[in-house]
Amino acid sequence: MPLSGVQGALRGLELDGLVAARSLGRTRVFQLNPRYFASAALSEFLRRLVEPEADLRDRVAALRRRPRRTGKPL
Amino acid sequence: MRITERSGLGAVAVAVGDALRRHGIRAVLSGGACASLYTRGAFQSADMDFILTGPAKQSQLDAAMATLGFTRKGDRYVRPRTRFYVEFPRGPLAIGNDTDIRPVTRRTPHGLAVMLSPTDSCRDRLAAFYHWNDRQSLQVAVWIVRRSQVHLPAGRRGSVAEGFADRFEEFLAEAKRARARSKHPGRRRVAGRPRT
Repeated sequence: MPLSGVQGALRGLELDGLVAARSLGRTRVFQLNPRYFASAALSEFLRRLVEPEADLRDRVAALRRRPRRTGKPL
Repeated sequence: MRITERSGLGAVAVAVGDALRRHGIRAVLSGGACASLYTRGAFQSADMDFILTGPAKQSQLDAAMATLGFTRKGDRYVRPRTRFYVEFPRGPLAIGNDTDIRPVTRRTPHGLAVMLSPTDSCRDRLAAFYHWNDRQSLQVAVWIVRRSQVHLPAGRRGSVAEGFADRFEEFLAEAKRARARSKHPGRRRVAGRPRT
């Protein structure tokens, strides 16, 4: 899927209030909007949808979350 | 009502509300513009969010806004030589999980405005403080309490229902400090200096 497609979809979700974004440097970081009136139900629904997706869950779990020292080679 | 370069937020909000009503569009002023009016300008906002509470086509909105000289640019309506812009965020009118929001019609020096009540406006700012840890929103909520009539038990109920009872207490403490400061503006104790 092209980046512009993802950006367009996120923009629509942001307009509808389902997600909220902020800038971090040149990056837009999106998250589910906790102020959305059905935020808890939506979060639960998405969690349910991902239950059978073992491969996707494994890939998300493997994402690096710890910091990386500046200048350290990849 | 005509909008001029010198029209303030209240005048523009009332003019927009009137134009929408004339075109059969039901909308409620919310967000920062409400907070600005309830803090009597202590908090400044150029952004006017009207939540649509009835059906409205884009063409109807365009026509209503055009009567005041606003044109659509992306998702917002702008007007030359007016610093305020208008947006119509998707509804429903809600604060957190609470969708049972009763807007109020307030008489302003410029006319009638359909908007969030001071209590709901305060709750709206508190929601930003709770979810984003935004201290500016906490400050604005305190200003609203100081300058408008807020029903604190309703605010507490909403906060408790959303799981933010402790943060509501933090807000109350901040409001109390602000009240003490305004009563005794010169009496600030310097840290480390003994009381005399």
